[in-house]
Amino acid sequence: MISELQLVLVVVLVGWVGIFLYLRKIDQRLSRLESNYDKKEWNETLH
Amino acid sequence: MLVKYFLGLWMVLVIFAAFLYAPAAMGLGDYSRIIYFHVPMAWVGGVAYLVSMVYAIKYLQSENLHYDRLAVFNAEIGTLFTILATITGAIFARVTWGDYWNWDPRQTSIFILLLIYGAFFVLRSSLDSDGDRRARFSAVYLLFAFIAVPFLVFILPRVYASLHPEPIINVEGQLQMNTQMLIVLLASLAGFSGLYAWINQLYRRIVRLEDKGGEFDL
Amino acid sequence: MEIKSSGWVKRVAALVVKDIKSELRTRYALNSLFMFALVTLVVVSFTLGPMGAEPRVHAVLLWIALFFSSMAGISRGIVQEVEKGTADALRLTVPAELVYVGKLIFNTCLLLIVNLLILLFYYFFMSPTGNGVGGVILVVMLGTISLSGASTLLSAMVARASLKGALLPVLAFPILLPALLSAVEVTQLAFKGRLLLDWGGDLQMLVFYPLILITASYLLFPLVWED
Repeated sequence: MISELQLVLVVVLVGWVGIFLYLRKIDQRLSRLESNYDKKEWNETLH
Repeated sequence: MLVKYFLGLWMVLVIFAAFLYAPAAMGLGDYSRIIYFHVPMAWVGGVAYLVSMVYAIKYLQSENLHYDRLAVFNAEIGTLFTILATITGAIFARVTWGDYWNWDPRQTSIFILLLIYGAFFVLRSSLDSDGDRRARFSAVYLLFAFIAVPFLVFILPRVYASLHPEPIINVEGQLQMNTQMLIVLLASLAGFSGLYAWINQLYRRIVRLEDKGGEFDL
Repeated sequence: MEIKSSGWVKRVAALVVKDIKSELRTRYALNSLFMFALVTLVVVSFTLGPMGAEPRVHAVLLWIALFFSSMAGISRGIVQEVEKGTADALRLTVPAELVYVGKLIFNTCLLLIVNLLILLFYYFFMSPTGNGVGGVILVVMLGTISLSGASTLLSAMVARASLKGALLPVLAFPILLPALLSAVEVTQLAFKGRLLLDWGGDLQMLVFYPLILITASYLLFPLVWED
């Protein structure tokens, strides 16, 4: 059976993956919003 | 973005290494593995405090409330990591010496850091009438409290060395770890630092976006 | 603002005298300090009962009483001043640095007097053994300087905050911890009469730490005093 050590390993791993995905989600959303604003500013400087 | 995926992978490797690659310490067994997480957490907690101080100084120089926000955010991050470090440290202490808490120098230092952070937030919450005054006082406290830190680092070990036995693995003092353990520890330290840098970067971007008028909900 | 070297001593002295007069008239700080210390000592003495205690325990108890009483006294002092509105008048007429020095001197004198009295009461209630009274007095005086060195700056911040009195010990404790630890260590040596023989780092700490605290407070005080 799985030893206690391996169990904790899996828990920590899953925890980290969760944190990573969460941060990545924020990162991607920010990138999208940032490029939107960049586009807006670019358009405004053109006109 | 590529760097961040690299960070993600790095930490996965670190976690595997912490549990499987590094040897269990003599006498302590597998519980010693908590060190690979505990030490970096304490490290980030301390670095966050320094970063907060830098932002505090920047605020005092410029009176730009931006810096105040950044200082507070880093204090929050620092507090989070310090709490985690205290908990993991307590677990380690329980396993090593039998008590969750016995005021050995390491534990006391991390606890003092927690106290300073705590006092910082109490001060802020009691001063919400005026953004500028609150920012100024917070900055002053952060700087003033820092004076105690180097003294505590030197005083504490002497005071308590007489009362408590040296830990079996004196993690930050003498490097009684073998090379494998050291590698994992350093790798974990790097990984946590990267995590901290990423979180900081995200926050700065959020603030910048909100400045331009955007809204960001978590 | 420039501080003329001949003028500032007189002005600081005037500030201190003003504070002393005010304190003698109302005795707010003295009263709180005293009552607090008395209550603490009574509780401790009562619970300890006829059982004696080691010098180390006495050192700890003494400094607990001193620390909390000092906090109570100092926060009362400056809070009262801000509430009465005299602080604003002060802000307009006197440069911040002088205000700081004046307050520091006043607080130090206040605490010295009261803390030595607390020490006296401590001996009365607790009867610690040992013949190093002179050493204990010295340590209490040194420690008191640290207490006022840290609290004067912090009390200026606390006076504007909403929690006021309760906030000061919370803010001061981490900063005073090095001094408190050294003080306890040295006090227990003093109780045993071995103070001068053991001139270790702790006694030096008690001498130098307050200097650093006071210097930093002097530099930071204008930031929390001026609006």
